[in-house]
Amino acid sequence: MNPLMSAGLWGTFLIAGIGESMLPLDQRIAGMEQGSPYLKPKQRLSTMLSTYYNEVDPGAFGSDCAHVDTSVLAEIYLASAHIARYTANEEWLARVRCLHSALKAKDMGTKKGDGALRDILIATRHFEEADALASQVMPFKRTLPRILGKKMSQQGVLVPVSNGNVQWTQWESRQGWQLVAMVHPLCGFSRRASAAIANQKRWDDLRSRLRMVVQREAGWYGDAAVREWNLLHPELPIVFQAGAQGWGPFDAYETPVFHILRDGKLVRSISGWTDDGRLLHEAWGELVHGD
Amino acid sequence: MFVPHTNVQTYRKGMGMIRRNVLITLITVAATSFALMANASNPAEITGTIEQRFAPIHSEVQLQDYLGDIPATSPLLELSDEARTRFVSSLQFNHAGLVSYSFEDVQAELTATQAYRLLALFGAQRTLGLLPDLEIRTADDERVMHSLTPSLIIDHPGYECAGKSTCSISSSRICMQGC
Repeated sequence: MNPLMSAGLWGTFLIAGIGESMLPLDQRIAGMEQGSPYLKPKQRLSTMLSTYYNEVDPGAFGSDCAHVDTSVLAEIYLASAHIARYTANEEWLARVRCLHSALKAKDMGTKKGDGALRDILIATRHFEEADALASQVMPFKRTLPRILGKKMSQQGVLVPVSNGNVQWTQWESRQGWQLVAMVHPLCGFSRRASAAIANQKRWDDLRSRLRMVVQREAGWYGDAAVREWNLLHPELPIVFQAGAQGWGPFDAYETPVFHILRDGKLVRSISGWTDDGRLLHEAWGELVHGD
Repeated sequence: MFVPHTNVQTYRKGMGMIRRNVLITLITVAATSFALMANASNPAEITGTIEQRFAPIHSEVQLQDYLGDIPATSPLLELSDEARTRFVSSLQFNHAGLVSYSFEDVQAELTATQAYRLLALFGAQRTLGLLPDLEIRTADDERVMHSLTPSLIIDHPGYECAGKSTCSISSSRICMQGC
């Protein structure tokens, strides 16, 4: 038995021993997302990674996936792509690319598989490559913006600028108490939070120390809404995360999430927008003002 | 070499698990819908589109009524039994109408025209433009896809309307305006 799979098979047999399934890996990974609604997305990702690494040793194929057995290649590809939607980093992009090339070489490519790679290319901000792939296989895809001045090795954000482009800009840590809000313009809870903080007097103190960021994701959504918001609120603009570099502690996979920082270090995170931001208001008051 | 690890017996066990999960999901969807309704108690926060609010099905109650007396021509019947169960269990409503659904089976089993008819039941037909893998088989399918306004993206694919006042990553779902 291949050592790559043996440890995982034993692990899976333990689970199977209590009467559960042995579905293909990709289906089990996807099932963890749909079947655990009460787990926080970060916990879900942990469970997915644990299952994945029980069965797949990515070190065994490195940058050459041609020797991966044909019978499991597609499921490992889809499982990897699923997890890469969360991690959205270069390491997982490399794995997805490698497996995708192997699928193509074996004439096992599918539209779904191409779409999965495109999604990860977008999440990792390889927009030109994503567009090139889409132009070959997806007739109804929109063109992505150009990223001006991109530097993948530093923590950055993408700032919407003229002509539909986005400008890569370095993310600077700030001293003192700060709030970084992970929001999305297509999320109602985020919209309500952003509007309240921008307009209500009770948030006056916090507003000047707030920065709003859209987490990188497997799709380019909300650009128009962000531009509209930024026109209306130039003092409180929304920006998009650039690559994964430096953003690990902020990744929450849900919005809105409010990260309270002191001198650039994460102190507390508050998820969601209930009761007009009561939890955030209390946490900010307690930490910053000693209420 | 990797060792294949699927066979019919384990597949059946897996389907059993899916059925159990569907049941659990149905229960949790009901609970979540209630939480969302409670959360949207402020009328100013209800932001669904006109299509959603006045769609034939814009609440859990209406969905159950519809399923109880499903018309023979219903687009829901275009889905296989299992896909229909999964799709229905993925639907989430609040006062704005439909706020989340899973598009995986819609993409896998329906053409663009069939998907349009299905989503129109919930006023969610505009989200078709966000489903990249829909099958385009006929001239009508082409027309349906071209009829969608490209700039009108107000829904969030890859996310769902989660219970605790967040939109949460979920790769095969769409979090709709109104969440």
